[in-house]
Amino acid sequence: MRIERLTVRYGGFTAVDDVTLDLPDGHVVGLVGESGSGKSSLARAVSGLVPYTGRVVGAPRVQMVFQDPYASLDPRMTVGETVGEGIAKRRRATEVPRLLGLVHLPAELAGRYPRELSGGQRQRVAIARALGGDPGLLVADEITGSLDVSVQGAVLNLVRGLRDELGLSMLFISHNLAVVRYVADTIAVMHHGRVVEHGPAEQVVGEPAHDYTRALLEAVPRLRG
Amino acid sequence: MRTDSDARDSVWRSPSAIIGGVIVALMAVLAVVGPLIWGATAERVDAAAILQGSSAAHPLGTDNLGRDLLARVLVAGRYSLSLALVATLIGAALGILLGALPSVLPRRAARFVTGAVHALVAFPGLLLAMFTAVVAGLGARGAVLGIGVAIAPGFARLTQTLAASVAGSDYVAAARMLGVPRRRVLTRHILPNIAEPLILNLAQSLGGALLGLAGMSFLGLGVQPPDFDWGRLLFDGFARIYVDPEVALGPAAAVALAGIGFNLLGDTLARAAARSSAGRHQTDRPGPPPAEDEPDQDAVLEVRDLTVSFPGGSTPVRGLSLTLAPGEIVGLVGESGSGKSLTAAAIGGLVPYPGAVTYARLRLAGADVADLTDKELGTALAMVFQDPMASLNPALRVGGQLAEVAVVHQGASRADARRRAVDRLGHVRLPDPERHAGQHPHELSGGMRQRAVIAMGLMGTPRVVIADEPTTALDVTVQRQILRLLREVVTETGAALLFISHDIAVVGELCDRVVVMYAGRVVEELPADRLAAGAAHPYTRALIASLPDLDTDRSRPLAGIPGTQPAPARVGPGCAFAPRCVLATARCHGERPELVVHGPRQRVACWEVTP
Ligand code: SF4
Repeated sequence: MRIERLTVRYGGFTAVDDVTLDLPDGHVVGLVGESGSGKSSLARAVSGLVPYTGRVVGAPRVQMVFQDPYASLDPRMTVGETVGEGIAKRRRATEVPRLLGLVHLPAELAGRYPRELSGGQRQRVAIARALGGDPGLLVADEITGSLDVSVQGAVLNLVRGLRDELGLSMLFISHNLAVVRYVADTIAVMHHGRVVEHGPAEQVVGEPAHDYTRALLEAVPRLRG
Repeated sequence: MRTDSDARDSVWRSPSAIIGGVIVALMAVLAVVGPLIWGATAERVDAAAILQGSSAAHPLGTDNLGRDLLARVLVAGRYSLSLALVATLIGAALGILLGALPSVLPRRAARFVTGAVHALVAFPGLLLAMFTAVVAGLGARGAVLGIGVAIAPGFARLTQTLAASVAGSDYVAAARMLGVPRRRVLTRHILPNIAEPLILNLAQSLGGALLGLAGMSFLGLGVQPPDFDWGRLLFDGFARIYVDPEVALGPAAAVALAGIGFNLLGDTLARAAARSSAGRHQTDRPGPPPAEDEPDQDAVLEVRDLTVSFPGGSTPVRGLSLTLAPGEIVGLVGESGSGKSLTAAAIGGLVPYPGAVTYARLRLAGADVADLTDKELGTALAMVFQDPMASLNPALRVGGQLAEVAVVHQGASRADARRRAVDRLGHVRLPDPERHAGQHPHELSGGMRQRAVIAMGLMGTPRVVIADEPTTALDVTVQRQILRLLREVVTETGAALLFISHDIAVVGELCDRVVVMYAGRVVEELPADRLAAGAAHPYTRALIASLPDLDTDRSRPLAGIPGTQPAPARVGPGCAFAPRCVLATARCHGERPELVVHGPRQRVACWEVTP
């Protein structure tokens, strides 16, 4: 899969500027950058949610998981209805429990409403819904951004597990370099709408080639001692 | 939850709700029984009593056939109310249809419908009603149609606005990506999520429709004899208003009363729906006794046994104690629901109604906070929040807002205050402070706004700065700059900084000392440089282990903590962390460990940590 010369413009403002990016099958590509870098616009373009010029080659059935699991689930639909949304009616009864199992949620949760779940559980439901669309590419936009640290780990482990078990290809977007480094095979760094560096995760973090990447790395807060 | 239902109950107990409810109930009863009881009287022609004024036999007088007007007013209730109901339903149906159409139509057609609705909303409703009524033919049918058409544009616009906000939501985007057809998106996602406000609007429109119909009948466009509604009675009586005012005032009063009743009820419904957490005053609960010992003279902020509670048994902060020395940076760290932000709010006197705050001691800069005037508190304490826009007025220029602080708190002259504002803005390294002082907050970036808020805190001479998640909404590189700035401010002014954050890495980097909160209590206190190696409480340790950093082993699963923090109303008698703790024993579930000294400058509340 490949993103070719993709550009997103809002009026006179160019959010994504001629980005070309390889998305190898079965890989997790991490996308880091700060607000206004264009990473979310790129995600939405690849998902077909905003108009763009350029091409997204060979990425069938793109599905997206959003940052805020409180806003991305319909409060008036049960977990089962949400997860089954993209699935043909006759297969729903078997598919919904399977999908919930994939994200390590008990099948009984299908009858509950989002307000009865914790943030981490909601995000799992959102991931299960996306998996129900049998994605060729899963776009994860800051999916741990609004979760507590103590539940973030479990969601990240889940993301890695899905790649290993299902061979899922993923575009994983976050402002947190440590998080991206943990889940991604390669990391692309975006700045002012352009990809300024893209390479294997350890290399980008260990031997950054671009000044901006270095600045980002230096700013990551670390525990002393 | 109890607090929710309490809040809703309190809305229903307000005078306007009771009045509205009673009036509407009376109207409903009248509509049912009126014609049954007074129907015959209202139709009884009495040639001997034509066109009389008020008398004992006919309190509201009689009409030109000698019929009793009081009876006619009471009987007309059913017809007036049913017409209003039908008109409202027609208006709502038309409006919702028009409003929902753009969600399913192709883009061009959608834009046309939206434009048409906007034009109709701008058109005077009464004209629209009269026009329709004239076209549809004189009489009740025309009037009802007319009022329905007049109500429709408002409904259409409300539907459109509500639908547009739901259509922009992430869950609709997700549904679209899954290939859910637009019509299904409308019926499954959009309509269910906008139903409630639409129903509320229905109740309010009913009052309007009633008045509108009465108006139409009064103009002679509505109900025609021999039928009669309130408007028709008013029309007939109006000619005699100078002779026998009561014949017109009776029906007028009925219309007004019903209109007021429906509006009050609609308002109440809307408020009950909007209100979900605020509620009644709690009976003041006695706080802990004032602390006996001498206050800590070295402390610039001393908090002892601080408790914040809300009606319904929810206590988000439980007996928290905290001491800050001048020039010290203390990090208060905890996850969502730990009570850390309410702790900050309680110190600043900002706990939202109906929260109740109690403490054994709360001293700021050597004085009891209760003895400080708002002005003194405002000068000694500066607060910085996650969203800088919470502290900045979007309508005012940045420099002017800062200057205001000096004028109000220090009685400075305008020119001096303004100079100081520019100076402070430069101090927090806002580039080109002169120019930015003359700009509005929205013209500044997020980082610049946060600098401006910090500068605002520095307009006085704060002894304590409380910063609640000040960098959470900022990018890492900007976060780094703001952290550096906060440190400089502390070094320079000697103020103490209470830095509140969910991010233990940020806290560890910035602070001298760290206070870890869980379920409303402090579970551990330790020097920041001991976080990585010396943390003792199982929660602190798990929190640190959960944090991926740039050296985390990628081949191993990340640590996490199973389960969730208990809600403030659900904290049991034992250690609040017990349900999630790997070391928990039976004792942990039943008995709560106190904070005890554990090594130099470290205190821990855990049964399994040996001192
Ligand atoms: S007191 Fe018990 S449950 Fe609480 S943290 Fe210590 S070991 Fe765990």
